[in-house]
Amino acid sequence: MKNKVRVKVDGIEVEVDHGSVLLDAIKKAGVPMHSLCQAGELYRGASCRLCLVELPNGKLVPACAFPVSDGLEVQTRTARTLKIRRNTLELLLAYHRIECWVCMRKGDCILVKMAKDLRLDGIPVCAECPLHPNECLLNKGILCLGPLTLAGCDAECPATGGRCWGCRGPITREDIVVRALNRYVELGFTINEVIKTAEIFWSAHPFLEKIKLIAGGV
Amino acid sequence: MTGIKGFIKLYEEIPGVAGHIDVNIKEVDGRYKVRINITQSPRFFELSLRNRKVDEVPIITARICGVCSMAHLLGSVTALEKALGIDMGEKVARLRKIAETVGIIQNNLVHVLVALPDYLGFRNLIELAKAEPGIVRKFLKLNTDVLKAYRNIAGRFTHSHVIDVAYQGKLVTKYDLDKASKILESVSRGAKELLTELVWKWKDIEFKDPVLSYLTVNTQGYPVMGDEIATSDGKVVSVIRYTEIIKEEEMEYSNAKYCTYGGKPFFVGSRARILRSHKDLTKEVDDYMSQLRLDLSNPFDNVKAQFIEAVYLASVAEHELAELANAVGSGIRLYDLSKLQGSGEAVSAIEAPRGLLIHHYRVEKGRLVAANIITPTVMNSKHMEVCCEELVNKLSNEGINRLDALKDYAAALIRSYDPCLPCAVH
Repeated sequence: MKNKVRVKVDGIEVEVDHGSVLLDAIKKAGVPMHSLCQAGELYRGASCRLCLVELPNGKLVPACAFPVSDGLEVQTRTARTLKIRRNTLELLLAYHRIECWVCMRKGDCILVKMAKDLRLDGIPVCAECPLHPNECLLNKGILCLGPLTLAGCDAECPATGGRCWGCRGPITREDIVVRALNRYVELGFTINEVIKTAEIFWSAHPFLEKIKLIAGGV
Repeated sequence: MTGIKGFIKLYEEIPGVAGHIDVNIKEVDGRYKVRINITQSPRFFELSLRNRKVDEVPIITARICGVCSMAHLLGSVTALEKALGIDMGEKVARLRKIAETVGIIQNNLVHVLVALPDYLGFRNLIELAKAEPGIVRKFLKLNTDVLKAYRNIAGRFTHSHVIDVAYQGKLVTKYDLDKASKILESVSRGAKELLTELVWKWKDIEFKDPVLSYLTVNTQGYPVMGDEIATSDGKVVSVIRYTEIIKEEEMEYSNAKYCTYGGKPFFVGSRARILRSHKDLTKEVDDYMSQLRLDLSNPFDNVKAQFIEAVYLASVAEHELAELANAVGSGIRLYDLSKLQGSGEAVSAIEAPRGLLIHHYRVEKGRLVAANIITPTVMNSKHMEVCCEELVNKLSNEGINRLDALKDYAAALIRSYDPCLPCAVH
């Protein structure tokens, strides 16, 4: 029995040990791959389903659990896999308690990187801001709309010390809004001034009315 | 929108300018009458600023214009800081002046490129890009470089959020400033090369300005930011008394106001700035001025003036950046948000790329009560109209009577002012 097997990942041929999984081959081929294995024990046993790849016969298999065999060919970024990964991540995010401003994994959040890659909205600027060496402006008493604003801009303004004014629009998820507004209150801002600031860019956004309703209950 | 009664539209929607502007024409007793009609719809910025907190005001006013956002931002910040009695110190003031200078360089280079087909004998920029791809590419390269320098100072390519009332968010270090200085050095070199290349290709359009009256900011050195307004007849007026010299009028046919000084139209912009301070410019710039045959009494030569100004300011900003880099030490960063609750009234004058820009605010207990903004295009528009009328009549006396020939000249004249119509109807 041979100790090495040859696998083709997106047309790149790599040699890996017999008995390893597809994800090792993909990593060895240098192909970027979505997966939550780095998140530790949280998603073990191929349960996150983010690393689905397509086999030549059209089957989708999780790369982190599928054993390699000689001559195996896989496609990692087909339209089908990307669509499924996007849906999967959307579901995972819906379950995720987004509270980036107090999160432990500040500055090294895999979710925000993957969400950006898969063009998925719903993560606040606060997730991207700590990727830059920068202090939280809210902690300094400067009203920044980071917790309520959609990420994706690479937090360009907070990264250079400017406030976030919410130019990318609000996050349309109630639970995040509730937590964000609570955070503002904790730090000594009034809900009124937050809403007034948000009106600069979101005055025509339908979700602003919703935020106002939520703010009534906070 | 329907045209003006009795007039015919000579040119509807002039291309190559930001926004919508029409030229209307009417023949009365063998002489043409011209009306410049700004059809851009009004934007009511002054109204939407009311009752805003002072630190939100500059962020909103910067959105008046995407091209000269720095001018509006700094105009706003300076006026509000004056009103509240905030002093950010000498280094921040110098940094802001440099940021505005870099803004002027960037706008001028882009506008020279946009107006260039008129002077190289092409119908539009696409034709120019096909025939002379090298020139267009060089302009775009210069623009990208200036934007990089701008980003090092202001944090973003446009609509900087790091400069605000009593606020300098970005930690500007020696490294940033040195880098920006190096970039501007290469821009200055590149612009000089490009200018020399264009000298022999540039076809002048002969015309004399009928009203050579202008306004600029009055400062030591080249006018960029200041507390006084200088007029072409030698008067110097403190900016708080700006209503004494600038009279704003509503015109029934245009969406923007028109301005006059002493009952006469006047112009602002690069030509006005160079007219005021051409004696103080360096020998090298004088040489470029004579090489490019710059005639400051010709409104068409505003484009040349913009180019020369960009060359001059790039070398000035380069030195100023290098000097400031040695002075900043551990970097500049300041927040002083405690003073934002005061009251007061102030006016600021700043040279936007297109000319004199005035911001006037009244603040009560940290909220804006009244705002008045006069943009350079508003000041220029009456002069534009008078010049256009003179040009059309001059050409028709010379025998050019076909409207489609007249209309191209009229469009080139309007373009040479670099009008920004969204600013005009702010």
